[in-house]
Amino acid sequence: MFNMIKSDLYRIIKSKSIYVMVILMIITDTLSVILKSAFSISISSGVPGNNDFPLPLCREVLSCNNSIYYFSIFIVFSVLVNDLSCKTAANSISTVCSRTKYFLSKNILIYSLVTVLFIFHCSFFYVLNLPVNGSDYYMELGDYAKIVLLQYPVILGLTGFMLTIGFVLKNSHVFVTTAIITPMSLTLFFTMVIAVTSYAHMTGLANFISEHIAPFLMEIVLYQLAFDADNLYIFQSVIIYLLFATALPCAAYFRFRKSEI
Amino acid sequence: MHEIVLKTNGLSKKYGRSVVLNEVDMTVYQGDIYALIGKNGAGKTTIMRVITGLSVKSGGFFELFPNERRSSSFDKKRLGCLIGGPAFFKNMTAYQNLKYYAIQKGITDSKQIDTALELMGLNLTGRKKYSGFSLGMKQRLGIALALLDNPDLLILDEPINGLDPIGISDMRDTFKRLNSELGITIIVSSHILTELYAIANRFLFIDNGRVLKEITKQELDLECKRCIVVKTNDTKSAAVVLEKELDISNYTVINNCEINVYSKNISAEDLSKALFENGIGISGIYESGLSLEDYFKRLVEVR
Repeated sequence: MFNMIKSDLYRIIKSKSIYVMVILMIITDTLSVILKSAFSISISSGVPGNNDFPLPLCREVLSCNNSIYYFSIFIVFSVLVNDLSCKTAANSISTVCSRTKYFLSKNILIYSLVTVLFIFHCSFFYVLNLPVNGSDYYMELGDYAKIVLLQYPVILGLTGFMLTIGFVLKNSHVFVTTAIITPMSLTLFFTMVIAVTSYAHMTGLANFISEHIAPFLMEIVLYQLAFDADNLYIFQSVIIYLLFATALPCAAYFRFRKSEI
Repeated sequence: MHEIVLKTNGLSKKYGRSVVLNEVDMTVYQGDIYALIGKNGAGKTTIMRVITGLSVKSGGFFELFPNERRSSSFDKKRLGCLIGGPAFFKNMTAYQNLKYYAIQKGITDSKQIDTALELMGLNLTGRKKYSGFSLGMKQRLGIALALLDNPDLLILDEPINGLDPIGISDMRDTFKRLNSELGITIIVSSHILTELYAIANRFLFIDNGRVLKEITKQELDLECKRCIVVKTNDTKSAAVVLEKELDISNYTVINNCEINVYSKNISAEDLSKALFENGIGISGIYESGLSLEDYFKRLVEVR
C-alpha cells in the first residue's frame, strides 16, 4: 500500500494540475489579504448571520472555506478519478494489488492531501495577513486554530462525498460536473423549497428544512462554525460530517468491490 | 507433466440476464503458449478480465499457481497483463509511465524499466508524451509494462493490434523467445489466427461464452490434416499404383493433373517414392488440410 501511495505522489509531482491548484490558492489567499475581503465561491448571498457590522477578516476568510472543497476537486481528480477514467487503474488492480488495497491507498492519500491543503490554506493566510494588514484584521491564534479544528470534520466529510462520487462515477467529466454543481444545486434547491413552501403556507415543511437541513449545507455550516455556532450545533455538524467521511466511502467501497474496472 | 499455472472450473460470468461465460473449464500448464480463439464477444477478454480481477466472476472458480500456497497479492505480482488495449497517463512519457508502475511493484532498479523499453523498441521515445504515441507505440508500451517485472504468466489480449507487419513479426519472435528462454507462460488472444497458430502450443476455442474445444497443437494438426495432394500429368497410372501397389482406395481424382489421397497410413514422402519408382512423373506433392480458420468455422457450425 505504501508503494501505491508513493507512486501516486510521483505522478502528482509530474503533473501540472497540482501546481496550478496551489498557485490558484496562493493567489486567492493573497488577494483576500490585499483586498481585505474573503474569496468565496457561492451562489448564496443569504448565509445566516448579522452582516451589518464589518466582519473580522480572519473569520470572514474561514467562513468562506468552502473554496477548499472546490480546490480539493483537483486532488480527487488527479489521484483517483483520472486513474479510473483513463482505465489505468486496471494496470494496478490486475498485477499489483487487490481492490481493497487500491481503495485504501487512494483514500489515505486523498484525505492526507486535502488535510495538508486545508492546513496550508489556513496557515498561509494567517501568516500573510498579520504583517500586511496589521492588528486591526488580526485574530488570536488560539481562536483561529479552534475554528480551523471545528471546520476540519466538515472538510473530511466533503472529501468523503467526493471520494464516493469518484469511485461510483469513474468518469472524469461526470465527476467534475457533479462535484461542482452538487453543493450549489442543494443550496439552490432548498432555498427554493423553503420559498415555495412558505408561499404555499406549508410552514411546517419550510420550518423543518430551514431548521434541520439548510443549517447543515456546506456553505452555511462553514460560515456558522466560523462565527456564532452554539455547542449543540457544533456537535451535530461534526457528527453529520464525520458520518459523511466514514459512511459514504464505506458505501463506495462495497460498490467498487464488485464493479467493472 | 508440467505444473498447472491456471485452472478454471465452471467459470461463469453474467451481466444481468446475459451470460458472457458459461461454465468455462480450462487448464494452462507452465511453459504453455495458450491461445484463446473466438469471435468478437465470444468471451475471450472476459476470461482474462475475470482471471486478473478486473471483473468479478458470477460462478465457478479459478486458481492461479494452485501448487503454491501464497497470498493473492503475491500471485498478482507474478502476472503481466495487457487486456482491453493499453491504458496509460497521457501527460507522461513512456519512461514515467513505467516508473509509476515500477514504484507500485516495488521495483527499485531503474534498469528494469530501460530493459523493458528497449525490448519493445521504445527506448528512444525520450520526452515524447504518451498522448503523442501512435497506436503501435501504445501497444508496445502496454507489452513493456506486462514484461516489466519478469512475470511468470503473461496475459495478452490482442497484443498485435495496431502493429505493422514487421512489428507483428518482431512480437511473434519476442513471445517465442520469452517462452522458450525465460519459461514464461503466455495466454494470448488475437483475431489473426495464423499468428496464433505460429506461436501457440495449446488452443481454446470458445463461442458465446462456452468452450467448444481445448486442444494441443499436435492434436489440432492431426485433426486438420485431410489429404495428400499429388500433382501429376498421368492421373490414370497414378491411380493404378495407389490401388495395386499401395492398396489405397481412399482417394479422389480431382482433374487431369491432381489426385487427393485421404489415407492416413502413408506419408507424402513414401507416396512420392512409390509413384517415382513406378515411373510416374510428379510435378508436386504436399499435405493439405484445414486451416485454423476453417477448423474454427467448422467447430462453430457443428455446434
